[in-house]
Amino acid sequence: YEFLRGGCNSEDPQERQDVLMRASEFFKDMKDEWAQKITKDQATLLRVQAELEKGAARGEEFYGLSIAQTITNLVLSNQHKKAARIASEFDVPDKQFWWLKLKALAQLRDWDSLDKF
Amino acid sequence: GVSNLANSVINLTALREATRTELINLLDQLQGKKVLVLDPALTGPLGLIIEVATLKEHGVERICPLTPEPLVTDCRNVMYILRPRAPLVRMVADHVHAHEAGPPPGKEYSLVFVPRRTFVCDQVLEAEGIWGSLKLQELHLDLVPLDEDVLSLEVEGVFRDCFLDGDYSALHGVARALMKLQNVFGVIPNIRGKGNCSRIVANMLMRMRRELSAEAAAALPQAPEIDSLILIDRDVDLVTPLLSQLTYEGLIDETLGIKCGYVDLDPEIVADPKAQQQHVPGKRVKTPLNSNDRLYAEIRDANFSTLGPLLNRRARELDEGFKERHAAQTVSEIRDFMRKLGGLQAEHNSLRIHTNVAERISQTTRSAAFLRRLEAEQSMVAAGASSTSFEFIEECIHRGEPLLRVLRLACLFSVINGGIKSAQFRQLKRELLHTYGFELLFTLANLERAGLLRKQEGSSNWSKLQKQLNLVVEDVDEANPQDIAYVFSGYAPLSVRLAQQAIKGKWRNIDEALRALPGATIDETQADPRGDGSVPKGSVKLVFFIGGATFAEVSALRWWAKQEDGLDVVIGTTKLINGDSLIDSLVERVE
Repeated sequence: YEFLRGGCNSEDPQERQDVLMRASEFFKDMKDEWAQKITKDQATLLRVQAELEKGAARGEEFYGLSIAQTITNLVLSNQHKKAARIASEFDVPDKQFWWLKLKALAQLRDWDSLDKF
Repeated sequence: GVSNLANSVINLTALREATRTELINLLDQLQGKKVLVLDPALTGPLGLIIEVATLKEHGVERICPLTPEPLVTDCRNVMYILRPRAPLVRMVADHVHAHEAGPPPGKEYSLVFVPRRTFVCDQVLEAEGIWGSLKLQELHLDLVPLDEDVLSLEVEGVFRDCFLDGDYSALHGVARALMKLQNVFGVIPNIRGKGNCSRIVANMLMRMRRELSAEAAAALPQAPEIDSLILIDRDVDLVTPLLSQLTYEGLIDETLGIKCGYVDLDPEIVADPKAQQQHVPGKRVKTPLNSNDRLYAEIRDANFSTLGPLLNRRARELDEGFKERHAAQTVSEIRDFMRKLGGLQAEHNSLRIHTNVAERISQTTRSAAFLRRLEAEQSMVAAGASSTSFEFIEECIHRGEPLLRVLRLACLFSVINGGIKSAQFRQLKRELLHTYGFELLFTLANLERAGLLRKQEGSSNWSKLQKQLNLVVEDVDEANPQDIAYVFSGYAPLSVRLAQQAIKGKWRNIDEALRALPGATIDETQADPRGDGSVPKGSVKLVFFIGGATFAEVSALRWWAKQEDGLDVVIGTTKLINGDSLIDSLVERVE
């Protein structure tokens, strides 16, 4: 855990992901499946977020956010497909996905999409 | 202002005066003008023993908080007052080094540790090379009287130290503070308690008493004023602090935050619309909450649902009081009325403030989120943690409700259920990380180690405990309570049930429950060191919570003591806490 914590503090995105992947391997050896999956998912998330930032308009930040926040931000910037993809990739429960989308659409006052949704 | 302590069952004023005199002596040792640099954690406790005006009378020119920023001052004398924590000592060292680099003349430094110096701090000073250039002193401010029946060490993080990190150094502080009480009020004949930390403290106390020099022992008061000490580890009862408090004082703490007997209120709440005096907009007003305020003393322990009628009745009584002026005819009648007027106005002022505060709180307690949460908590306490409760917690996560609230509920589920089933536990943790971020992983690990949120091992003993200790009481009348369960509208705090049995000397009646709870059970008697078997003068019981107490528990004990003839209870704790602050102390912050 100490090792992982140090990694999470790291400024360098690549190092963060490396640490997570190594931690994931470590948990695999420890036969801790839950921790293995969660660290691997986090490494994937950071990679996806880095890509999202590349394609994003200025001022949009994704890197280091939680999955829920990432989905919210994607809905806020009208990238509904990407939002849905993240949700399925990380097994976000449908119920939660609806909540996030509902709240974000309400925040946008996008009543049309809200109606359709 | 600060509680006047005049009605306390033990002489707490003497305790406060002793510390005050100690501080004044320290100040007077530094001749001339001085700057006082305070550890921010100590401003609250120090404010309860001394006023700023008195500090000024003793040469204090400026008071500033201890920060990493360099200290700029022309003053030759600088006094630091701080908790013995290494990072703080390093800040002081940085200040000193910065001054040394500057032009002479040199300064005189006094470093005052509260309540005691520690070896670690000495080491830091030595490593920084300034050990010889400072005057090292101590201010033995241990138990601060927050009110006439509440004493607190006001030390942060004892729960974390003891129940997460296994660092028991804080317990030494607890024992020293209790020993100091014994020096003033006599050796406490009975010590009962529950929990491993309580065991350690009880052992330390008995050892310290045995090691007293003959001289010190002879100086002990003849007849003890406190007859029993009840020690309770916070981890013996984790359910109570996790529940939403429903008493008025408890709700003020949960919604507005009480710090060291004061609450910061918005100016609109405090301001008298008719008065000329203007409060700076946006600047919060520090308002005392203690028994000096007669109205507050009457309503603080009440269940919030009964507060409306209570305030209403008071308002009508006050009105009657003011109307007496019409009846006053003769000069002496008018003089009598004028004498009462001050009191009436003070109470009128307090009534206005508390009506506003209650209004603010009811915005929370009326909200659907609060009511649903309360329903979930109450069903868990009464009927155990069900799948419905679990779904409710998941829903709270999905809605992204405030982290501490969600963790509090999840921990409650786990504690009552004796842990969470493996698959559910993994699912819950994953959803928490998805919603609140991966860094929460470290906090979850802490909660797991502290036994608050963990995988199920064995079966839950909650329903047994609940019956053995009569924790759930049906048909509670909050307006006219018959049992301490009124504080949680039907749940009697486990910790207070233990205290009740311990005070009555009926530990044996609840043998089974005691065995089901974690940690050692303590039942000791202390002989007076002079061995003359003098009869206790008082029958005061001191109930001390190691790792924090909630206002709801204080209220329950206070209410109970009022019902029983000849029972006086004083409550001690390392800190007043609530569920949010308890969980927050275990949150791991990743920068």
